[in-house]
Amino acid sequence: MQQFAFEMRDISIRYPHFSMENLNLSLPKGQVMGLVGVNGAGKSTTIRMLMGLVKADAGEVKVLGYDLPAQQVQAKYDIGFASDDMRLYKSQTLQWHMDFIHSVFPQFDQAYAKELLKRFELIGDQKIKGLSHGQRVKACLLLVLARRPKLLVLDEPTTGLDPVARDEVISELADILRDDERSVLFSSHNTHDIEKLSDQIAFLDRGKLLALEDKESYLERWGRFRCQLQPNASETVAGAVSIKRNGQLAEVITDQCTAEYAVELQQAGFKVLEQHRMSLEEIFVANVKRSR
Amino acid sequence: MPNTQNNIQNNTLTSAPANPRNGAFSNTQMIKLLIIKDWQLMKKSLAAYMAGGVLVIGMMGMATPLMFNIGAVLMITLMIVIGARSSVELVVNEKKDQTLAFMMSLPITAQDYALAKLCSNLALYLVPWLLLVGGMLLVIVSTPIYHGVIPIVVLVSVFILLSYCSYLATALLTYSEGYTVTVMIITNLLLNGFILWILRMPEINQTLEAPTASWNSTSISMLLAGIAMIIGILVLTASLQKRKTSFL
Repeated sequence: MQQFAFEMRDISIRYPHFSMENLNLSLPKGQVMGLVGVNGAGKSTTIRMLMGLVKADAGEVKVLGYDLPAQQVQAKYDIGFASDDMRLYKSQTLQWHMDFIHSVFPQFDQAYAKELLKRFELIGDQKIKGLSHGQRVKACLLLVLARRPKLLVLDEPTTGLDPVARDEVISELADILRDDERSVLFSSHNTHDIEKLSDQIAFLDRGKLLALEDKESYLERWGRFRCQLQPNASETVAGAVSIKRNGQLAEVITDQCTAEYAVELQQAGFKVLEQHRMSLEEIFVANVKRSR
Repeated sequence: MPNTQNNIQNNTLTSAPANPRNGAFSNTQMIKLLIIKDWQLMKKSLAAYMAGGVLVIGMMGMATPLMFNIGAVLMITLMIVIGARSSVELVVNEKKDQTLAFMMSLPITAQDYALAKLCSNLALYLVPWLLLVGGMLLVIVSTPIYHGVIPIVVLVSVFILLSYCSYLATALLTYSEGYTVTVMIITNLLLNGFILWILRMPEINQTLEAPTASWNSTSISMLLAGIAMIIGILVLTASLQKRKTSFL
């Protein structure tokens, strides 16, 4: 039987300007899941429910075998959480924060924390107010990673970072996440970051789960065809997610991109001129447009 | 290693961390750690305020009417500043500075967090409040100042404590700087009115220059009413916090 790091079943939650209906999402243990969505898609709400911070109106949330939010205290001992809006105490040093976290989590690995200090090029005795945004993000990650949590939940940790700092953080995370025991949920609206880190990718929009697949499946199944329209071209083509017509030309996007699909297009009066693979970002945008 | 770090580490060493996997789980240890954390964040400011308090008590101890009155005004100001600073710094700013997200990641519930905040704020205010009020009373009884002022000193101090509890409750229930500052302004305005009101009361006014403290039914009733209101506010705050289902 497959074991899950978390399971969300039939989750519904309603706010004045946002609602989520019947969300089902689960992450097998040891996997890295990327949660992609635009601002307001429901990523943070999903994560807050997983942390027991927000109670769903309906549905069931289980994290590492604990029912949330009822058993959030027990669950949080094994969940590491960092988000882009997380700040540390400005007047205190990073070392103070490390000591504080150590006092809360007995499993805090001091040696690993020191190693991360070096890898992230941070200084323990430096006050938080003197750190750049990139350094603050790294400091938060250090505090989380050195606890060696079973589930790591990262809510847009790379938002607001300059390209160099972002690359550094992603590279370090990719290196650290090689640990097969650790399950990770990583949310971002940046598909490039998600692509580098994730095994599975979930697309979320307006509180709905649009798709959940592994990265390779997305890249294999989705394709874009540039076609010349024949006089007998039909209005629609089976398997087309979108068809953009421009005079005698058309661009067809499909999520059923097989070797036979070009033949099907041909038979529908679309002469294929070019075939392209799509980036994850393009696939995400096509998914969102289809759902709206 | 700085003392702050020693304190945290000592705490870890002296009391075993709560282990959720060992049956009956209590979060008392986490609440204790949060209170220690708040103490560490505030201790430098508190030390500075207490140094100011010693200075003010020294002024009052000169026992001249002018110095005593100036000292009394400064003491009231100091008590208000300590309360305002700790409730804004430890509650409102935790949300404003986004350190609340950091706290949310710890193994605590919204209720644990609120209880820790209530305890730490009360302790961080009550300790200097008691020292300052005690210092003032000590000055009064050990100098030629009329002991008849003791009831009014106690009543004003309790009113300041009541004001503090009001804006602490507002801060804890709303995490809003706007609402908290509004309650601070209102309670400060009410304090002026309260002082003028009790000074005009014959039962208080006529005993101000008495050689001994005169606790009559009026002053005792006011004192008991103030204490009852403080307890009421704290109980109400704790019960409203208990009903919260979301941290945010």
